[in-house]
Amino acid sequence: MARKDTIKALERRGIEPEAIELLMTRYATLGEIGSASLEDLLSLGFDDEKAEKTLALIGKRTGSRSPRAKKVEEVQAVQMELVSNPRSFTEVETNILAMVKDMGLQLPLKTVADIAKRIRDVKIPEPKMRAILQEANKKYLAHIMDANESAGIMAAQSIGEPGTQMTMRTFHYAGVAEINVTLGLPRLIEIVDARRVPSTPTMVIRLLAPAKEDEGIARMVSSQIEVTNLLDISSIETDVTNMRLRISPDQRKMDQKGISMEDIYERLNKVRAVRGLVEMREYDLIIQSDEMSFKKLQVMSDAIRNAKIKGIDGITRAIIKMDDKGDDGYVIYTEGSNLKEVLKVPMVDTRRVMTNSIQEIAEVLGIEAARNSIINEARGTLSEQGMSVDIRHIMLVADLMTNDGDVKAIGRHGISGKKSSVLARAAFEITAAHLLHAAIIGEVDHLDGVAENIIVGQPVTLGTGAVKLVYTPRGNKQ
Amino acid sequence: MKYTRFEKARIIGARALQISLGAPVLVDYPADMLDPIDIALLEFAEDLVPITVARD
Repeated sequence: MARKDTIKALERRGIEPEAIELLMTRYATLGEIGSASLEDLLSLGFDDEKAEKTLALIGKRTGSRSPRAKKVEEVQAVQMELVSNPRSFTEVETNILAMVKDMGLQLPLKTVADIAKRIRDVKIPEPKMRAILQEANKKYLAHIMDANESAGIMAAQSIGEPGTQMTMRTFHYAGVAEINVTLGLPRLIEIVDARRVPSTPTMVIRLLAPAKEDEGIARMVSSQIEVTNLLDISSIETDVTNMRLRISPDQRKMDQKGISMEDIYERLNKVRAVRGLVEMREYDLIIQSDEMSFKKLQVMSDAIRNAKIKGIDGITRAIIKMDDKGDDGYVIYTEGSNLKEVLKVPMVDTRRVMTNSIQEIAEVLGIEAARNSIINEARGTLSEQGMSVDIRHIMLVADLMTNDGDVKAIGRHGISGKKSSVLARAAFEITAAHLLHAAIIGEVDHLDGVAENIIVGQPVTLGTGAVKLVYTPRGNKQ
Repeated sequence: MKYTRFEKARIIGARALQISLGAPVLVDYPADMLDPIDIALLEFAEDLVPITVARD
């Protein structure tokens, strides 16, 4: 970075000219300045107060080792601990875990929890318990994949093959309560492509105690979620002679949605095209144009026609249905999805709200929730079509899609297109362009993957091909 | 060291090739055992194969 640019950047941060002058006597780039400590600045001839102020202004960038930056990190660490591990181990689980550790076994927490759940009400003597754990450990180890096994290829084939059968089947499916949901192969492709918005976003909103038992209250909650336009509850009349719009609300529809005249008045006053022009009469609302212009009248009419009076953006329809199978009572199904806003609505069971928009889940609840959502959605679509794919294949795909912190697609713009090896990318798509580009910038291929090794005619780095033999004279007792 | 099934296959394969090319056999094997792969399997079972794997 040139000296001039550095000075400019410092000015933008609001550092005084004299201070910049001083800084520039020793440092040349922003990076260097960012890593400067308080002592460094003091030795440059700053006084205490000024040095601290300057440091605060520049200190936000780079991994500076100043005491200030350290303090911030510590605070974050404490916050992390508060949210993580919300569940503590039960007594049985702690016992089992201690035994597992004592016996030097290897068992995942999930298995331990499952065992604990099964034996919760049974008293099992310790030797017997140890035998059970030994057996569980044996099964677990037998099911672990060997090193160098081609887990990814098996996952791809195990999901791909049922996919070919799905092509022949229905595209759209009138699902629960007349709401149209994309299912089958199109939905599977959507999940794997990590689209920003699914083609048919829907939500399933379960409710809390009073609302789930009473249809009236459930309807009230639903009216707060579903978007209501002005046109849904009233008729709009354009009065050309007087240059005004007359809005006549339908009282019955308003009652149904729980909207009052005042609500409409307030909402309309917020629409920019008609701000300040709305007037409330006894049964009507009048919007008097301030200009003698038909065009203005037209613009105003268009602006208010679709003005949102109530509801959450993006949710075009909400349907209430009694949950016949479970005991969830009344459940709201929606067309359109807006998780962030729905979570704020009172009486919504925030722990069990579902949306099929994976991106939204990633934004609101975080990447682990998104990973779970990918698994659930993919498994749901597959099993709905009668395909039984082992969940571990799907989990691998979900892991791969989410492992760098945001939801990435498989395919050209995602994982396959961003492989580090030139030959692997060339094997995937637009071979010539990849090779040419690699030649121009002088890329190096380390032949670590499968595709590269097949291209150059070597054993692949999987299975027996990945084993390196070593000669050990006189037996291999080590 | 416990071997994965790939390592086992690779070790036995390499050893069988050596035996088939005339390497001295390190295990007592029945006279009617002619297949070098069988002999290599026997050697492996007795933990006498002079080959191991490098893991990194």
